[in-house]
Amino acid sequence: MSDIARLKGQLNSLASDTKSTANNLSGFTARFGQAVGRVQSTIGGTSTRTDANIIQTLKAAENQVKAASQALQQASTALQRYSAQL
Amino acid sequence: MASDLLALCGELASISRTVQTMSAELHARAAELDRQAQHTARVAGLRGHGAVGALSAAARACRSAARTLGMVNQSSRQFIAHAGGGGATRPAGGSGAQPAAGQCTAANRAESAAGYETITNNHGEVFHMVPLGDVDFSDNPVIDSGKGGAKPNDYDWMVQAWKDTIEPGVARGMTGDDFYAIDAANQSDDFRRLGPVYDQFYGGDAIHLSGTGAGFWDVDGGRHRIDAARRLGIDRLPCRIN
Repeated sequence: MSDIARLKGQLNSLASDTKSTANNLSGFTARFGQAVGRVQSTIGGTSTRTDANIIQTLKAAENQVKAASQALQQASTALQRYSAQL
Repeated sequence: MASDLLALCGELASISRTVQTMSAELHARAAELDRQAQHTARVAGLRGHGAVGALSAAARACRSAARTLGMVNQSSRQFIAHAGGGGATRPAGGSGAQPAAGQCTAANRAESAAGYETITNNHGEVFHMVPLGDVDFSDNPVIDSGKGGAKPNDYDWMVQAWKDTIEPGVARGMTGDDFYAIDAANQSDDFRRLGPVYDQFYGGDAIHLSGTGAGFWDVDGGRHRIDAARRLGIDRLPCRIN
């Protein structure tokens, strides 16, 4: 098997794994968002720095995980496109 | 109000556990994406430029998310401690019994101020059970052999031996001397000896971390062991924190 054929197989496999991780992250983001909502509804009306910090950190994480999920989706698409060209 | 706070602490504890696992998974995924990007660049050259770029971007996004999730873990623990829901330093054990000299037992485990479980060895040194999602050495990745020419499979064996034999043995009260005695009885080969593994986790060669802990720790010593643990799906290791 040539290096290119081997690479093609690896890329297809990686594209599939990457998409699967992206979907898992997407599901995690949804559950995480619900948990953040519950935390926010409990302490959202308070004004202590600790409370504000935890909400800010949770929201930042929610956004970062969404970004990671999107980047993984894009990587999966790019891998499939490139693999098809080989 | 107290029940609201209790429920909130419970919610945050649940979030903390989940993000710890997810953070470790994202770190592992980032490492895999980086490896594949390098491999694709080597094999495909310029033709693979788009795929390599997408892989690298995804790795960066995963790493960034993992770090932020590490911060969530840390912040959640701090919030719970602040709210009085746990995580503050507690006295070791519950019976008042002191650990015997030369022992590093489950009985002298306590919760650290940072919220990590801790183990104290017979020299009074404290080791924190640090979730690997809280550890970062992406600016200094493992690319070389370890001390004495140890290879990745040697590190895999070492970390698995810690998980399968040393950690449960220590929990039952075994000491470094006990593991060296087993090695002597078995005439074990270099890189397959339990005594040095004990030292690598609970002795002078233990993993060293430093930093503020605001989301992740820097690794001053032990990158190969942490790298091996991530490969093996082990999510926390005992570390000395400076």
